[in-house]
Amino acid sequence: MVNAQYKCPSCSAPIEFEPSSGLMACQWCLSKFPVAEVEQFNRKLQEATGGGVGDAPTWLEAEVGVAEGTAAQSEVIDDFTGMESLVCNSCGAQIVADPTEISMRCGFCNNTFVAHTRIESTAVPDAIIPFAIDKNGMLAAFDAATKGKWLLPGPFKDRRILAEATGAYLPYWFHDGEVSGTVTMEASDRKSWIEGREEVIETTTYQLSRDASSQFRAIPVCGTTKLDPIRAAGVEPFNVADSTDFGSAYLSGYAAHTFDIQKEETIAQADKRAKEAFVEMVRGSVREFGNVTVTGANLTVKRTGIWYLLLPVWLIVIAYEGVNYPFAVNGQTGEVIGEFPISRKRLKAFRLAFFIPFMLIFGWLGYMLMSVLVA
Amino acid sequence: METNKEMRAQVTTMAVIHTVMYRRILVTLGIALFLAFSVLGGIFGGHASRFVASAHAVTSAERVIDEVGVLSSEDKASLNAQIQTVTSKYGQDVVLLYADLNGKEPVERADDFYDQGGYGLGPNKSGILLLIAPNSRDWWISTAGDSIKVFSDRAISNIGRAVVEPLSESDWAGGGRVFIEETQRYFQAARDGAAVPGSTPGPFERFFQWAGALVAGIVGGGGVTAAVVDGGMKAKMRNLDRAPDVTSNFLSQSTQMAAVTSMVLSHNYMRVPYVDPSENDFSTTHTSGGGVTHGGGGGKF
Repeated sequence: MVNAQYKCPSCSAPIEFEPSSGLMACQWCLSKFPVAEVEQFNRKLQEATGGGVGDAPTWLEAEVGVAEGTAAQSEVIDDFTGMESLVCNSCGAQIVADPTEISMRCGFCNNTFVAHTRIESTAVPDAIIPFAIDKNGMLAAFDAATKGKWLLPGPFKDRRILAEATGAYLPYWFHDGEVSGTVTMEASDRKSWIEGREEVIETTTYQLSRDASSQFRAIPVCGTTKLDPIRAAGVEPFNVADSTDFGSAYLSGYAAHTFDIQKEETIAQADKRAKEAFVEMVRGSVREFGNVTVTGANLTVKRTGIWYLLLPVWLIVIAYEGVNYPFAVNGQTGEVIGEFPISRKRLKAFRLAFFIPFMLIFGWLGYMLMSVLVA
Repeated sequence: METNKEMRAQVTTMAVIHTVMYRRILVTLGIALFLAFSVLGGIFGGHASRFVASAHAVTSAERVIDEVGVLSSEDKASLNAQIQTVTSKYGQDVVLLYADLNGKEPVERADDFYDQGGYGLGPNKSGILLLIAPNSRDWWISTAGDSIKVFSDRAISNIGRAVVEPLSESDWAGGGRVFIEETQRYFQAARDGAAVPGSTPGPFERFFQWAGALVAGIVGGGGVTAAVVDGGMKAKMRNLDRAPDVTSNFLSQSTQMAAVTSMVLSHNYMRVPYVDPSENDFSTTHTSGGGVTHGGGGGKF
């Protein structure tokens, strides 16, 4: 397929994926269709028109006679950032797109299109986890995340502004493999008994080692630099069991990026996470001894597969009191990742509220303890 | 007439004889009863409760012995009277000895004086003695019988601190008075089954008490505040960079764990003082030259 703007099989208006129903929903005729049906309809439409589907945008070069556009054929308008220019055939506006974008909205007519040519020129995702929460669901998740945050400024709930909200599919590399090797640990056991007016405490320290192996599945590492690493890791976990075969129609209505971090570059990070979890697993398996601490591990990772998934993330910016607070919201679970504003007044008040009574309690205990010691 | 006079004289003589006989009988009965009560008292006195106050008959021996002549006769009388009140009320002896050590250690001097002087009340010869040696400036408290339990090491230390204050100013009678007052407090606490009262802290103790309160207050209050407000509330406001643990990504059915091999690296032994939780405090004891068990403690003033 070429670049496509998905059309409603009923009225041919733009149609988008609706998370709440898991169907493609037309905002014009209110029809809803399964994803596969919309894809099939649009494929036929494409074949009938002999190229791009309907109002699908084309790369700028296509206008001047270059056949079906690809990322490589597009006009690079900024050598430094690699930004490329496309033309929306729906309204004729020029869209400046990052070369990793595979689904985007026209900033003028708000129609979305999917750049199949870019998908095919890089890699087709092995699977996709579709959005499970829409914009309203995301806002509800954000509200829920503010609950129990006592240091949030009082007016935050009323005065905050949702400055930006982009539902985006982000590329992640998922690693399968097996960790094996030896974990060395130290443990100690403590026994005590009474001899006259003395308590004798015997501490025995052991060196332990355990050989072990275990297979792991689907350890994720973010494949894009568009989401900073601290948010990329925080927005996990995703439930891979809910993934489905990739269909580009899922991207309709959302931004999507292909990877700009190659899978080989994510191996070290995946191995690190796998080894850390494996070591913890082995340490936790030692129940015969107390106070087990890991002193070393000689581990190898045998990789059995790396696969490419697109995962749903809401990227939002909340403006409050002139400051922008960026958040990432897991589009599957509603987990909110970010840094909330802190009310300095509340922080001071809570510090005082805890410090004064506990200072008195501990002060009294200290006084009593010293009274016994100096007595 | 004469016959009448003789008869009256005879009657009078008979009456006198009878009166004398009755008196002798009464006296004999009184002595017998006294002896009987004395013997019974000796037998059953041993069953008196350890710390229960009973109106013990206190022997008339002096309880304030001033071998070095530092007390006035008024002070001596006053201290004796004070002691008499305490011993009568609590049934344990209190002795004040002002003396030189005569080449002995304070502990020997105090224990020997107590044992050889026949002090102590009740079957266990319970009592407490304070030796004050004004010339060598030593003090020693010796306890015996049930008083060993009443005056724990800590109690002796507390009493010692209290008496040292007047003694260090050569207030010999004052030291004795403080000693008697303190023993009374401990006897009362033991009788009530209450915690043994502490001594009034001096400026040094007060400084450490308040310093301890200040440090513990700041560290404890600050620690709790940091843990709850900064470690809990503030940390909740930022949840970036928290990659979840991927332990659940491992397939448990594929996990193979060999047996743990272990090797002993070291054995460490540590001895720490042990206090039986059932005891609040304890009294260390020793045996005097006379083979009697004593508690006690002392120092310089």
